[in-house]
Amino acid sequence: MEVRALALARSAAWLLIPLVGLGGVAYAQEAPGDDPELTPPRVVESVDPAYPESELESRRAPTVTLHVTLDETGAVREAHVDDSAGEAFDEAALAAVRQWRFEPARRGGEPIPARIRVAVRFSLPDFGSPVEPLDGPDEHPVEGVDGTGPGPGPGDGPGPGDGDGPGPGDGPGPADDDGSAPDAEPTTEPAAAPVEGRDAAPEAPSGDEPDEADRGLGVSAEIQREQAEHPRSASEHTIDRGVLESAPRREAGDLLQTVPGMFAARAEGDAVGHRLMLRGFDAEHGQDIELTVEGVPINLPSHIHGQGYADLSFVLPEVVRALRVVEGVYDPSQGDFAVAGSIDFRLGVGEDRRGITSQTSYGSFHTFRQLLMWAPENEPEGTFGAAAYRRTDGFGEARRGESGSAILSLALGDRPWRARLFGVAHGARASLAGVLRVDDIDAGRVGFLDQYDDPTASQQSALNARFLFGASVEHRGAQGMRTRATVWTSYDDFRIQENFTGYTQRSMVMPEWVGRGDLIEQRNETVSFGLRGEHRTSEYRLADWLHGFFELGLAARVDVIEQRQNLLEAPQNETWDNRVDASITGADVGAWLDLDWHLTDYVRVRGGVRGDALYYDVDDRLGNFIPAYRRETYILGFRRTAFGFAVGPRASVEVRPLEPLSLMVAYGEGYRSPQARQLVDGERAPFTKVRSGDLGFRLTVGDDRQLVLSGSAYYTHLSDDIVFEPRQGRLEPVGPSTRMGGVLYAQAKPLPWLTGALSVTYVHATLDEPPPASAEDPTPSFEEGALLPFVPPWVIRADVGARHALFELDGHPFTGRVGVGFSFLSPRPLPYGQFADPVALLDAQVSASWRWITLGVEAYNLFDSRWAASEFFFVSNWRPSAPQTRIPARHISAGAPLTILATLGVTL
Amino acid sequence: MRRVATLALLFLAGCGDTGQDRVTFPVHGAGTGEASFEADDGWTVTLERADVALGPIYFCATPFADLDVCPRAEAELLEVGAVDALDETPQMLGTAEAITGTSRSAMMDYGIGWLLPEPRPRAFDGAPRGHSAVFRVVATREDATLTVDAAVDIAPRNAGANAVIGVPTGTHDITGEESLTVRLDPAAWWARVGFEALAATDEDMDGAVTLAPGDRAYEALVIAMTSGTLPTFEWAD
Repeated sequence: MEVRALALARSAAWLLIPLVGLGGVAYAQEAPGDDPELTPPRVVESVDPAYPESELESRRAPTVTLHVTLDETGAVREAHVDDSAGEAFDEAALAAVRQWRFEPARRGGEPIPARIRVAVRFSLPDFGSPVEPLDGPDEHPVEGVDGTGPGPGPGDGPGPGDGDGPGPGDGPGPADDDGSAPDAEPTTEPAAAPVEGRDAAPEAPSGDEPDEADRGLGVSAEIQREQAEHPRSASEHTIDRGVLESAPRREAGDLLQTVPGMFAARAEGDAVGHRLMLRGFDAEHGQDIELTVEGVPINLPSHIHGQGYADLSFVLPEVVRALRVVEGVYDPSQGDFAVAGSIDFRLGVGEDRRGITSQTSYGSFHTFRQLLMWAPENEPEGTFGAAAYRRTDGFGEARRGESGSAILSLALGDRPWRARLFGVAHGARASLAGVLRVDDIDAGRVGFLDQYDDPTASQQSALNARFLFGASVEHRGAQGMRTRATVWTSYDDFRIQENFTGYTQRSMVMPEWVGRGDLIEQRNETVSFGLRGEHRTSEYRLADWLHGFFELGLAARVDVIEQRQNLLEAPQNETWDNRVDASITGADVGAWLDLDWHLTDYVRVRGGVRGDALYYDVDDRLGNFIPAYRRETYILGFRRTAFGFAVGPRASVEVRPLEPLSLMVAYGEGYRSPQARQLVDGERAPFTKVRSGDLGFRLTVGDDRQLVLSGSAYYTHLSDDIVFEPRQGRLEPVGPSTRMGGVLYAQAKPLPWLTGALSVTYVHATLDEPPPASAEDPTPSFEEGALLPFVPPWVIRADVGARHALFELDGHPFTGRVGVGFSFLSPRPLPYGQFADPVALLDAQVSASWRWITLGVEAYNLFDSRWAASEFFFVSNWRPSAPQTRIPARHISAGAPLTILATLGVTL
Repeated sequence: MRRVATLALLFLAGCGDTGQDRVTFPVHGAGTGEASFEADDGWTVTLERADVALGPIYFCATPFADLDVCPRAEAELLEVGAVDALDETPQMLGTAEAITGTSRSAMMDYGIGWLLPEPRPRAFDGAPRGHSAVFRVVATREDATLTVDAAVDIAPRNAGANAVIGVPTGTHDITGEESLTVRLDPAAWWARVGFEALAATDEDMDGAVTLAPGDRAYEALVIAMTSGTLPTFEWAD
């Protein structure tokens, strides 16, 4: 008789409780069972083993197999090591498992003792470890009853399932010195293990040999906890710290480079969010990517600088433990801006980096950065504080910047109740060099890294401040039930002065005012409140081959936005035109139903439906503008309201013909909210509808996931795309668009000290139905079937990192570390038949650490490539003393040249 | 090798294009070859000199080129050149930068523009003697001869605007394979001048008159050049 339950146990890095998700579903792969009377034990509470500190340098990821005897109440009566991985690991595993609680095995409904076998797999806390999942319950069903023999050994096929995430407060229990429970009875003693299998139980074990005893006991189980959230599609990835650390990262935005198909660049200085491209989307500052930090939304709806504007500068890269990436829209919990996909930054400081850390960096362009991090020992990974200050003169002209960030996170409680609090404060100001015409660069009128020698150019700058607070609480019940609630609030202040077009504008308010420079001032202030709740039911088991969960979710947010746009005349920055002066109140209430059902061991079906209601109240104080030539017959201003509802299904099917191989197909419909100021009164809020499909595979090789390989072909259709309009400095609609492509992604840990990731993404992105010719634009730039400009068809990213103890010095290991990251963008199609130059960037780092000190050097753009962080096509006039050109020209903002930083770190 | 490179670029770029292309085409200026005409009031008018500045020129897809409806041009000639408008042979003015599209109208200056940041209009390099046009005309009637000199300045009314708007160019699809000749008809311009009245202004009776802004004949010329007899655009493939 055999009970087989599979759930991967994750160790050590008993990571934080994220704001939006905890744990993971232990996937139960059912073994044949033919005794309908016998119900196997089920884990209802588990504690993760701590990765032994003494083994950190070994970087091993072993599995310890335990024999565990349960009594009629489900308590652990005895545990001993069956398959050792060394004393330290054995002790840690025993200490943890002794704290587990089970729902007892039952025969005919009556609880009975049981003996099971538990495989506890240890993963390295951070380096190369799989990521703690956010979703799923702690409870691991132990299911399948078979009287034919012992269960499978460790590593036997975990089925598809969500991973589990032990949360803060979980700690190793007291371990006995000898690794065995003092009150344990001999495992082979029949009286101590009287669980009876259908065939053998009445007769008790047949002998003293343990295996025989197991057989005689009739119940054998393997419990493992899934290491990562189980993906819904082949385009869903968890990028752990091993990959994130492999190449140098100056800031959180750089971490995004590891996302397959992603390219992120700072094109507008240190106080403006990265420009993002993902899988065929020129996502600008986040319009097409739902960005969250610990589940708290970062995108700002109806932002004046771009819909869905997101600046991740407040996230310190040192406290990011993983990225959860969902490319496409297949999860009902994905909300606004999940067009190309969703990315969640998960925060935590691993065991090997805990303590008090000071990290000082200095290098090119007088760049200085000081980081202080506090992560108390023996506290959960989610408990930490960090602050950083950075200043730089910037490369080239006019790129001086300063910023400061602080983040505090507390993980509280223990199962079944756990809580998480975190707060963020960030401020930054930077000068902007602005964009340059390529023909001016080619003619030598301005240097590639320079700025136009003009007062209206030299007044370009940006400022940003953000404060964010979030709190979540979670309760986990029996059989996978989980309830979670999160509340958050945010304040964001954004101000930018930027001149894209030189001298082309005419004042609307005073038409005779012309030629004072197109220095656009944008101001946006957003106060947001939000909440999110999710409830996952206990597992429903309709049949042995049909079981699963239901989940209901709710997310709501209110945004109060003040925004203005003016034209300023440099150098006094006198206002010479008003373009926008508006107050917006927006609300988004979304709800979803999600199903997660297994149909046999080989098929898993997930999905549901999500609906969002959006409400807008716009006070456009410059609406119904009265041109100077018209008599004033009314008072300026236009107040309007709008409401809309978006609903879309999401579904995925996974088939596992072989244990390490998953075939996945997924379809989903999502949305992007409208720019509120463009709505007219009573208009049904015109959502951008996105339809996304994905067909792919995922192959996992090795007990410790030495290789995870995935590939997918995808399709995305947008009902209304938008592109940047430089004359107004904002995004404007360009009609529907389609993207088709494929992604290959591999994460590899071939050796304990070596981590790598490689992604290759191709996309064919086209405009389906650009805006028709109009009186104002009789020959629009965009044509039907034309390639979407600025989108790189090929994006390749490779990250490789190695960390190894080289030798011992004074009894302490001297550890070396090297890593490289390489990004390649193929020539991007530009408007008017042109192509941007390809981009190839190589970053590298090398460091050495001994005891509490670390010395390192990071080099960015090692080849010193000349590259454009962004490219535009529009009409500009930067030579005001010559006849003005009025045909669109290519503009760029320069990317950073070779930058070298040296870092001294001290950890106490 | 070049083909391989092109194929490689297409592969890397994902096969396809973004629609319009950026092209260039040459622009010439020319006169009609008509140097004499009979005025209505009996004067026989002969143009001895007609140097006219042309440019910049902006080509629009809209039926009526104006800055309000055509902030983005389909093509533009930014150079300013002087055209001997008495010569019907095309004279090179410069190369127009363009994007493939349709030209239906144009707006232009006669060598004097009003740049946005500047307080007043000014002549561009290339304008003959810093004027939009320099004329010498000899008019005769019976035994009377009148020599008229005129240096005409035609400036935009507003900064950033053009002096001449809504010039029909014919509907032409710009491909980059064409050349353009902008043909001027100075005789038609001078036909709007009343020579009888002009002769009456020759107070010293020396048979020579120099036109100045505000003069009736001067204003007639300005009106003729900006709206009365506009340049014609001749496209050739």
